[in-house]
Amino acid sequence: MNQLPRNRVRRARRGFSLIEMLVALAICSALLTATLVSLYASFRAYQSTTEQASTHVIGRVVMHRVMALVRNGIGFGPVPEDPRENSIATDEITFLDEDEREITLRLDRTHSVLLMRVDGGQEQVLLDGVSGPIDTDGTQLGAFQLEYENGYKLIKASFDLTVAADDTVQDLAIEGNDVVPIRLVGSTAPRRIIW
Amino acid sequence: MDRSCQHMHRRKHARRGVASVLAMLFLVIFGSLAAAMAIVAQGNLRTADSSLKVSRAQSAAESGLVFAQRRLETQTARFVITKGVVDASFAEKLWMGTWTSGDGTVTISPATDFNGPASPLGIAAAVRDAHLADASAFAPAAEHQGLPEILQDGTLVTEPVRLEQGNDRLWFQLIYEPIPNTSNVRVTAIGNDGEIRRTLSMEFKLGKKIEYAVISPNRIMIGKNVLVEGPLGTRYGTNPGELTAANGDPLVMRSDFRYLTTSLTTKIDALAIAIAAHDIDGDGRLRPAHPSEGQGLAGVGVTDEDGDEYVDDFDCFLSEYDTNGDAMVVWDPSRASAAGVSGAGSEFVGIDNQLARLIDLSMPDRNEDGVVDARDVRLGYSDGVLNSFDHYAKVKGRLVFGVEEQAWESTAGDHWRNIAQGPVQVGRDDVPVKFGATTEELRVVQTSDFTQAAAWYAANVQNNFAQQVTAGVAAGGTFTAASSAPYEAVPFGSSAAYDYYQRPIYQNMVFRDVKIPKGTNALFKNCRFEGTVYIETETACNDVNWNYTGALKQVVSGSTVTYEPRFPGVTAQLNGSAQTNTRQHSNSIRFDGCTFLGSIAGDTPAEYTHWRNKIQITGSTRFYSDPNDAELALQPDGSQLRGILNSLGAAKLDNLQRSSIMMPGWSVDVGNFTNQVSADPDLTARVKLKGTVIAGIMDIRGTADVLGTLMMTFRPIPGEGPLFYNGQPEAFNTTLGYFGSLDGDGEGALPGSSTFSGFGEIRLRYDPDAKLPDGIPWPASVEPVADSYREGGRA
Repeated sequence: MNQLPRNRVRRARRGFSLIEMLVALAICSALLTATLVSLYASFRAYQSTTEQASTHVIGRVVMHRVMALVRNGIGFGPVPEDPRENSIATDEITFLDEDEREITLRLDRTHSVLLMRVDGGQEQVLLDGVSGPIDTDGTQLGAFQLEYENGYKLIKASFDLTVAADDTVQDLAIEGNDVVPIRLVGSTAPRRIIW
Repeated sequence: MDRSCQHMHRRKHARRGVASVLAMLFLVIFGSLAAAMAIVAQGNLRTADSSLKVSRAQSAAESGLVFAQRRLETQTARFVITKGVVDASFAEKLWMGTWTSGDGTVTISPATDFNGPASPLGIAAAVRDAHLADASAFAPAAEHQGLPEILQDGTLVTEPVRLEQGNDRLWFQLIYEPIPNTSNVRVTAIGNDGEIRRTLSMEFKLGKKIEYAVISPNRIMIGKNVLVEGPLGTRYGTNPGELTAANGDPLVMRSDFRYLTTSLTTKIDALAIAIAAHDIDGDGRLRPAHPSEGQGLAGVGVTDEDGDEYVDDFDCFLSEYDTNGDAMVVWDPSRASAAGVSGAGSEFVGIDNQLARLIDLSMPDRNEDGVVDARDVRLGYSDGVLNSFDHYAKVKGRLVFGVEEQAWESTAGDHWRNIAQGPVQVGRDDVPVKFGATTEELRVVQTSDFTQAAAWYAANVQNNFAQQVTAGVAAGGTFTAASSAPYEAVPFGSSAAYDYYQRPIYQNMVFRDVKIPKGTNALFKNCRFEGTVYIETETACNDVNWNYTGALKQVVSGSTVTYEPRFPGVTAQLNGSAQTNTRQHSNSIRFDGCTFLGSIAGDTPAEYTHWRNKIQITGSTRFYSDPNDAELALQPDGSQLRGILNSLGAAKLDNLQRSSIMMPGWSVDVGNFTNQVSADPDLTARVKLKGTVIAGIMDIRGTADVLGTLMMTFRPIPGEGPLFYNGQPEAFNTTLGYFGSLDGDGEGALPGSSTFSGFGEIRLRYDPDAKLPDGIPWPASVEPVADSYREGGRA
C-alpha cells in the first residue's frame, strides 16, 4: 500500500498527456504567431518611418534647391495670357538662372515625377512619387502658382507638391503600415527682380 | 533531499530557463528595434533642426544684406559731392578717401545715428565707424578678433552682428568689397546659425541722383492738364519773411478736371473740402474703408467709381461722364474698338482730348518689359478709355516742402490741400508729403554752383557765328534782318507782354558748337544745333534797371500799331557808363521748331533779369544727346541724327548728356502761351525736352513732354534784383500748365472765350538715369543692383 502512491507520482512525472501537449502547442503557436506579427509590424513601422524620414530629407533638399533657383531667377514664365490677370497656376515654369541658363521645372503627373531641364537639354528627375494639388471636385490645380505685377513682373512663386515614399509593401492592414505622403509647400520671391 | 524534490526542482529550473531565453530574445529584438527607431527619430530631428538652421542662416544673411544697404545709404549720404557723375575712378576715391581737388568738393556731414569721427577718410571708413558703434557687434570666434578692418584693397570686413540678445550662435557678418573698374561695392553677407552658414552677395552702385522732377527755391505752380511722374521739392517760404500771404504759397496745384462742367467742378470742390478735413496721409485721396478718412466721404456724393479703394478727382470725373456705369469713360471710340474694349460709347469725345491723351497715353510701357505692345494696351495704354488701369495721379511721387505744414496753413488761412489739389501716389515705402525738410534733405542750388560746368560749354564752342550763318545761307537757309522782321511779344503769345522784340530770323540752318553773340536777340526757326549752342550775355547785369532799360510797349491807335519806350529816360549802368538799351548787351532768344543734338548753355548773369536774359522754346522741338536713345531711332531722320551725334565723340557727348539746358540765372520758357493743337492731336507740335534742365525760373505751357529734372536757381527776395520796384515774390514762380481765372490767373483765357485755344498737355517725368552736371552740392547715393544678387560666394 505504501508503494501505490509513489507509482502514481512517478507516472505523473513521466510526461504530459496528449491533450496537455496539444493545448501547450496551441498556446505556443498563438504566442509565436502574435510575436511574429508584432515583429513584422515593428519592422514595417521602422521601414515606414525610415522611408518617410528619407522622403522628408529628399523633399526638403529638393525644395531648398527649387527655392534657391527661383530666388536667383529672372524672366519667369508662363505669364498670364491676359496681363490684367496677375496670377497663374501651372505644372511647368521656365526662367533664367544666374548664369542665364534656361531652366524648366515640370511636374509630370503621368509618371509622378518632378523634372528639371537646363537649356533645352534632357529632362532630369528631381523627385519621384510627386503629385500636384487636386480640387475637391477632382480638378487638377497647378503645382506652381506664379503671382505677377501687371502680368509680367513676378513677385512671388509658390509650390504645392505631394510626395509619396517609394514603398511597395502594402500587405498589412494596420495603422502605421502606410507611408503617409508628404506635402511640400513653399513660397518665395525672386530677389533679382523685386529686391 | 529526496528524489521527488530533486526532480521538481530540476523541472522548475528548466521552465525558468526557457522563459528567460525567450524573454532575452524578445528583449534583444525589441531593444534593437527601439534603438533603431530612436536613431531614426533622432536623425529626423537632426534633419528638421538642420533645415531650420539653414532657413535661419539664410534669413540672417538676408537681414545682413538689408542692414548693409541701410548702412551704405546712410553713410554714403554723408558725402556731399559737387562732381556730377560718379564714375569708376571717383567711386574708388570716395570709397577709399583718396579724392583730390580735381574731383571737385567733397564735404562730409557729421554722423547722425552714432558717435563717431566727424570726418572719416572715405565711405569705407564711415561704414567701419558705424559698425564699430554697433552694440550688437561681437567676436564669436578667434577669426573675428580685430575686426572691423579695412584691407589694403579697400575691402571692409566687419565683426559679426548678433541677431538675438544672448544668442551667440545666430549672427550675420558683412564684407564690403569695392569692385575694381566699376563704381560698385559688393556686399557679402554671411548668415550663421550654429554650425550652419549661408552666404549671399549683392552689388550696390555708388552714384549721385537728384530724385526730383522739379526742385526749386521759388514757388511751384502746376496747373490743369499737367501730370508729373516724380517728386516735387521746394524750399520756398523758409527764408525769413518769405512765407506771407502776399508772397504766395510754396506749391499751387489745380485739378486736371476743372473747367469741364459746373457740376463736376462742384464735386471736385466738395471733395477738396472733405480731403482738407479728413485726409490723414496727405495724398489728396480718401479711403472709403478707412475709419477716419471714410467719414469724410459722407455728403460728398462721390464713391469709389473705379474700384481702386480710393476716392479722388478721377472718381469725380467718372461719376460725371461714365454714363453707362461701366467704371470707364470712352474718349476715343476708334482706339477703344481697336483695343477690343467692348460696349464703347462716346462719353468724353472731343471735350478735352488733350487731357484724355495725357491720362490714356501715360506710362506707355505699363508692364515694364521694355517694349510697348498689345499687352500694354490691354493694361490701359492708348485703349481709348479712361479707367483704373490708367492709374491716374496728379503727381506720382512725394511732395517735399521746406516749410512746416502749420506755418504754411496759418499764413495762408487755409488747409494746404485746398491749395495743392490733386491725388498723389507714392511707392509702398514712401510717404506722400514731407514738411519741414532740412537743408540736408532738400538742398537749394544756386547759379554759382555751375561756374565750372558752364565753363566747359564756353570752352567747347567757336566764336564764328557770322561765318556759320553765311554758310547756312549758302546751304539754303534764309536770314531776315531784324529791321524787316515783325515785333513779337515777350513772353511769346502772352496777352500781358512786358516787352517787344524785333528779332533777326535765322531759318533752316545748321549750327555746330556755336556761340551766339550778346545782343543777337534772334528767332531761330527750324534750325539744327549740333553740340553746344552757347548764348553770350553781359554777366554784370546787377543794375536794378537792367531789366527795364530799353523796354518797349505796344501802342494801338486805330489800325496803327507802334512800339514806344516803356520807361523813357530809364538807364542802367555798365562798367561806369549809362546804357539806354540793355538788350544790346543781353540775349533774348526764341527757338522755334528746332532740333538740338546737344545742349543749350550760356553765360551766367550776376542777376536774374527775365526781360533781358531769356530763352523761349516753341513749336516742335527735339533734344537728343544719346545716339542709342530709343526714341531717336523712331524719328524719320533718326539714323542721320545718330550719325551726327556719334561724330561729336564720346567725351563731348558725355558732357552734353549732363544737361540739355544749362542756363542758371536765366528765364526759360517752354511752349506757347497760346495752345496750338493740330487737327490730328498726334501731330500737334510739342517740345520734347530731355535731361537735367537748369534755369533761374522756368515756365512750361502748351504741349510739352519733359523727361528729366528741372532745377531752378532763382530765389525772389523783395526789394532785390527784379523785385526792386515793389516786385512780389509770388510773381516769380515755376509754372507748368494752364491756370485760368478760376485759379486766380487773369492771363489764362477761359474756355469759350475768343482767345481760348485749349488747356495744353504737359507731361513731366523724372529720369533716374539722367546724368548730372558738375557743381551741384548733393549727397552721393547708393542703389542696389538687384540683378547682382547671388547665393553663395566668399565665406
